[in-house]
Amino acid sequence: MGLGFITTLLVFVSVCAAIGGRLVLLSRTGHRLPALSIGLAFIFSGCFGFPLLSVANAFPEAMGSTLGAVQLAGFAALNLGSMALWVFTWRTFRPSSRWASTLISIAFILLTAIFLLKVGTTEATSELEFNSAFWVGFSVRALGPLWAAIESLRYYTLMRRRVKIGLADPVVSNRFLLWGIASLGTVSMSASTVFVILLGPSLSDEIVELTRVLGMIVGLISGVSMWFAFFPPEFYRRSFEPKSPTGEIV
Amino acid sequence: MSVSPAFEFAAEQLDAASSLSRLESRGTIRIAIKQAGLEAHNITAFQMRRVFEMIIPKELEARGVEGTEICKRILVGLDHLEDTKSKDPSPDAVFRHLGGDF
Repeated sequence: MGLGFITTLLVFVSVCAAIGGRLVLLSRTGHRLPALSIGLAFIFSGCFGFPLLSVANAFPEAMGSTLGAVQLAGFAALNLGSMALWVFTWRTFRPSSRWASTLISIAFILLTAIFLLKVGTTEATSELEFNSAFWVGFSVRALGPLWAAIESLRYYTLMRRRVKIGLADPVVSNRFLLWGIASLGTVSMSASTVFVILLGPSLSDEIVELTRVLGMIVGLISGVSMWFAFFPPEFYRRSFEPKSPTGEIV
Repeated sequence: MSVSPAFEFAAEQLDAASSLSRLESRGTIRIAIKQAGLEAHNITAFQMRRVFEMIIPKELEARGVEGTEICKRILVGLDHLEDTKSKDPSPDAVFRHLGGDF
């Protein structure tokens, strides 16, 4: 598991760093808060939170007396990333909605309270505990991408209709679909984590392996969607340009 | 829910110029903008123009109203209508920016 695990993690961190870095830089040229928040979501969750917790989970003995601190740092980063994603969805899709700002406030309070509780109870060498506080935090973090997916896919249906009457750019319209798919992928990966944690001991090795492979496939689809959404390659852009009957771009 | 100035203007004009009642005029426009993937609370004059060019004439015809002239007059009015500047960017403006399209 060592080399494969480290390689996968490094690829994941690199992709998140590239996308997050680009989005943070883009925030300097306009749409400051949405661009900054989504960029920080990638950086906090993808470059720090997820890798720190994965390493702490995979090599608890090697962590020794730093295990508790690494876990706390991982959760802090994951929570900051999650909050940033909540802010992005709110500011992009529901900036003047009262229910959305209330929802965000509740999510922030829950994540902060659970983290402070964890700070107070974590010992230096304690392993990850799947208690009720963990599940509340997990749910709040999983609801962030679920909300992002719902909003993005809903907006995609609107954009498709606008494209038909020339009121929207098909590339931008497709970007909502890509972000919706990427967000759903994140939700699916959270769901598979729940599946393995809850049923882990009773699952056969084949099922655990299958879950892992499916998780990797979903992760790949999610990663490609994010890349195409925020680093759209030229061939992808060109595929949306109108073509003549002979196939030439007009 | 509140509607945008472009919606309010178009609905008033359609109500005044056609045989449709106020409720029917507003309902017809709501149906048309839904077909266009737009929303009554933030539709702009530019977007409403496109709706009046491409969708409303067919909707009026389906209701037995000869809409060509009416639509032409409303389009002229929409040309002179200024949109109130929204303090928040639209989701498509944000996503356009995030993909590096300025």
